[in-house]
Amino acid sequence: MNINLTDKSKQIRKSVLDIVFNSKSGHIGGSLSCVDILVSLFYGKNLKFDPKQPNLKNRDRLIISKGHASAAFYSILSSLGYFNKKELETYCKNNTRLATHLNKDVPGVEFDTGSLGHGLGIGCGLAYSARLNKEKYKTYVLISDGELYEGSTWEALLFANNFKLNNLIIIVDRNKQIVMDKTEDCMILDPVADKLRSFGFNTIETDGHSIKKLNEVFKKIKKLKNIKPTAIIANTIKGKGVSFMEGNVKWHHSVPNQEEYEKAKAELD
Amino acid sequence: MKINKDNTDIMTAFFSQLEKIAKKDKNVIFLTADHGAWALAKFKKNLKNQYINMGISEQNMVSVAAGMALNKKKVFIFSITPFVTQRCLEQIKIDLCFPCLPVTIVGNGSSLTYASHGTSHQAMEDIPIMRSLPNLKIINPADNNSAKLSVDLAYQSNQPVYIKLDKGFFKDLNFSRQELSKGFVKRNNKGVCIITTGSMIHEISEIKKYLEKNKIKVSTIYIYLIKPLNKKKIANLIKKNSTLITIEEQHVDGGIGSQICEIISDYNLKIPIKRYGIKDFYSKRYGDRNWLRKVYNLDVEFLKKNILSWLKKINK
Repeated sequence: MNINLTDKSKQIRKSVLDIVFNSKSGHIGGSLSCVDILVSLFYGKNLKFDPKQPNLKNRDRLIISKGHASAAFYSILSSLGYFNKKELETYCKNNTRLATHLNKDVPGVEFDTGSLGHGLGIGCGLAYSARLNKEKYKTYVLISDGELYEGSTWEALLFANNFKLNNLIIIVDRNKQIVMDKTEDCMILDPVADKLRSFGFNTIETDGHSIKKLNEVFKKIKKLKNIKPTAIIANTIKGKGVSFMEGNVKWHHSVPNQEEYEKAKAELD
Repeated sequence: MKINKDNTDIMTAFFSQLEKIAKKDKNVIFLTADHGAWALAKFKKNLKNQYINMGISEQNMVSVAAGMALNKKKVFIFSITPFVTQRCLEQIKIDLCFPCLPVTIVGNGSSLTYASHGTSHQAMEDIPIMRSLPNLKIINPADNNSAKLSVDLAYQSNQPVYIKLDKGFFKDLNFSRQELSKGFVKRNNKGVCIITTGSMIHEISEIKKYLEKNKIKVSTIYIYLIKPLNKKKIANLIKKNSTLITIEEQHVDGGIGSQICEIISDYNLKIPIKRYGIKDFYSKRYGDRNWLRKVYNLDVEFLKKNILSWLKKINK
């Protein structure tokens, strides 16, 4: 099963590369860093979802707060059949639904995101009201580590802890980079796990590129009988899968030229 | 002596109505960013499960409200006006207005209400700012009846609403709910038309009397629903007037005076207009609301004389 999922990750990464290269836009680094997390959630059957019924009442809610990872998320959604893969060719073209930041008009997208630091609050509102409504689904929020610089994220963390939102799972894509710098070189974020733990979260660190480990974590937290919200810190590498992009701040939103594209594609094959 | 029929303040009227609705509908949720009101104590006591003090976290309050609205909750969020409109403006734009979620923003301490608290607590910029947000309705009540109606309209709305809620006791305006629901109320049709909004309506009668003493016919328009404004209807009404005067206790650029100028331009009307509002500067001296109105040339004595002299000048 894991071999298949690894292949799926490769396939999604290739799609990300194609989208960015063909459209000459998008955020390649942060898209590549979260591919394995998304593959594990969807293809690892860790989320409750149905591409044929995107608004299924009991579906788990997944808010992609790092809306700039649209190339990855749209690749996953089209691969699952939420919409036709052909539509990926319209990415950033005139009259498209697929912009560089996520659009709720696209089936499978729960909320419009782009400006950082909004998604966790939305997720808190969903999780809290799901509890009021006695609905059993879980709310997952994928945030970038860059969002930990936003004050609103910490406001939301306080809320989640205060109401012991055990139906809320935050996944931090900890690629340790923002647009212009490495996080620890410009404004120190670490120790992220300690910080989240001290905010009342059941906190788990894992390799964000090991689908096996991600699957284990997602399955483990479902069995936990705790009253806390959960935070998964997925340690990742920005630009994962393409050697010259990995960990290089240049590739937050650079577009590969023909030569770079071919080199990257060969590495992903 | 009773100030109004209920003998109560505008916030009590507002929260009593909200409590009435919330008692019938458990989906009504009230969030406050640690801003209280005497009238709110009853809501909190009676409807514990529908009330949350979010702490001083306006940005998260908006996002949480949006998340709840996705789950069919009718959420009212509350704080002092600048905090609940400007601190979290981006959340209002992206989390409420863009997806068009029916969350109601209640800004308390309209315009210069918090005069002596300083510029941080005053709200002169809210209307120009909030008016630029697509999908947002803006309601500006000025007495108990219009405040209660604003709750009903917000509750029934399928889109975000901003209510500019004043503070204190106001005389009843005797505008019917039917009239207010249309968005504005006009009295008389001829002569000079004074157009106003919010609690400045209570200052108009004295100005009107003064102008009438000086043999000037006066009609009035009270704008209740600032957005969307029925522009066509207003254009048809104001073209019957000789002159227009707008008076508002908010930034003069971007408020209702600007809205009327836009109507004049859009409908190619040729009517002289004079706008009164808060000029483009921050006072660094503070006092009570009436004192600060004087600083900004919005007190009745100044308005009476200045309007009369302007009318004489343009009619020469």
